[in-house]
Amino acid sequence: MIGSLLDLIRRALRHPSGRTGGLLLAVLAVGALLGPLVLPHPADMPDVVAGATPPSAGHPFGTDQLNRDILSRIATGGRISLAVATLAMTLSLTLGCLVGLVAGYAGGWVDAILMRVVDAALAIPRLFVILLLLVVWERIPLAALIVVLGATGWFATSRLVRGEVLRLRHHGFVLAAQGLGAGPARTITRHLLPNAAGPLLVAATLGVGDVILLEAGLSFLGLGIQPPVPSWGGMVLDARPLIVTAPWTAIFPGAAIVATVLAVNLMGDALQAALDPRSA
Amino acid sequence: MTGWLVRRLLQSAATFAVAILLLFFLMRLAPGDPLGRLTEERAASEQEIAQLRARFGLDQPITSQLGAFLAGLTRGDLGVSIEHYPERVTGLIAARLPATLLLGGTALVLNFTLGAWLGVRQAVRRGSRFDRWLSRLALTAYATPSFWLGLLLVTFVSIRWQLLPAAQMTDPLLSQDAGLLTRLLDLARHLVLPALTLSITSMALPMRHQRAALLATARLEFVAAARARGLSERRVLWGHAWRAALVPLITLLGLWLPILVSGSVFVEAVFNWPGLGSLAYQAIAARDYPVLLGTAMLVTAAVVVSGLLADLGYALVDPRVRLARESG
Repeated sequence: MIGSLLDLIRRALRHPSGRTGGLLLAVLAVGALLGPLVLPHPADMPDVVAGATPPSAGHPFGTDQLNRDILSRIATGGRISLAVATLAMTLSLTLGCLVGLVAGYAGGWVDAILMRVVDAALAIPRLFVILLLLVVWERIPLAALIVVLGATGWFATSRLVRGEVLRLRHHGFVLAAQGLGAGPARTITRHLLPNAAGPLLVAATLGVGDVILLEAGLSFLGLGIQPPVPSWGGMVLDARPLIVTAPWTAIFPGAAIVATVLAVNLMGDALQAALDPRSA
Repeated sequence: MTGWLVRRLLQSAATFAVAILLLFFLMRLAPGDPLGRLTEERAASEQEIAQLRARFGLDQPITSQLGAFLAGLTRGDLGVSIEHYPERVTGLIAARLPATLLLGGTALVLNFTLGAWLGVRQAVRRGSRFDRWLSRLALTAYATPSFWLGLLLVTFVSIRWQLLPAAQMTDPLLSQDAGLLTRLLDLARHLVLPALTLSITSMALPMRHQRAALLATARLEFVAAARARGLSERRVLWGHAWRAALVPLITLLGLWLPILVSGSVFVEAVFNWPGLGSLAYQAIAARDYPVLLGTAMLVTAAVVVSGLLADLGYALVDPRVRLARESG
């Protein structure tokens, strides 16, 4: 399973979109991981002079309203954004696989009920579900944000997994495994999931892009990552009152969102193309 | 066809009913009480809190709360706003709906005409530099947060260059007895930036969809047949291939509406556009649950109905679907 996934990724990286996306993603990930360690200005430490200063040699992206270095804050914010998105997507993937496997494997009324609920959940725009869940908190704990983002992102995944199970369960190799005495657990982990891994990876990659955008939007509304923890959406929110005189305070964090989401989506497209060459 | 129609209608109704239950329990699932936040801000006596709880029915068990909520729903009543007490949620929503329909409708028309047309051009020149760059551009626009794009447009187009108004739907200084044309022009000037923001950030979807659909039909036999009959490339494209490729575009409506709706929350917040999105945005700040719930419900209804319409349109337009369903 790991081998075939690695092979898929290798093929995706040879695709032009995959090359661009992969490179961009690598740069961003290294920047987010190492940036806070090597950059001279700490993300949370105001410089001596007050007020936003334009980009200069000392501060390539300028400084914000508290004179904090924007580049450092973008790097630290990137760590958090990427971590939140990855964790939320992992949760979505787990929930989606569980529900999809149960629905596809059990069939009958269990399947009918689960899929009715998933249909209904898919009809409610995700942002509104999240708003209803987040609005109770004065300051949203980071863990709660991750759980809420993850718990609202699995509906489409469960459909995908269920479809794969229904497609595969009557294939010869699955029936053969079952005939040889493989129980449900073995059938699922050794035969069903590995065959569904490719489509799942594509869906998960594109899902990460959605979660990053969603988290940035929530932070912009003041409902996502809470200050003083830096987040890209929150930086744009902070920049709003001074955007006319100091546009760099908004431009760079926003550009970081665009670059990251674009890189992830390019990667998702390349994976899709590697999985199904006809779709390109 | 009738049997299929009835089944499809019932299915939509069931989806909507389950969605309403989900929304209701979701709100109660969240820790805390809708009034908890309200009483946090100023001291309230025990008695006052009890009164408030009784006013919004929060002292009742959850089953009777749900019963009252559903009973109200059948009368077309979504309850009372907490922030704008004693105004009704339906009244607040009705006042905001036209602005959102105007903004969303404009973005929708732009995306399904300009976006679809660009998709057609891309498919025609498949693999060319034009095709590749347009794809990249669309993907970049899709990765752009609408709130950020909106803020930048306001900063540069409205404030620095003074070309278009920065916020609101109408000019408050416009005199009451201005002519209809002046009013319409004023509205149009206010509409440009929010509609562009909403449209740009979601145009990739119809573009890609139309490109893929046209490429799929271009491989089909009837296109080859049309070519073989000696029709011009233009007639083959617009008269034959494109008409068939329009069908998948209809189904996109159901997929695209949730994106439009979520986008309008951010766009309306940035441009102070007096629509449903900014109503929801203000309801968040005020912790006005009934308003949030009502808005979410309306939006869900719109998604379910547009999915249904897309399916109906599909059945009406595509003879193969229609026939299959008539015989089945």
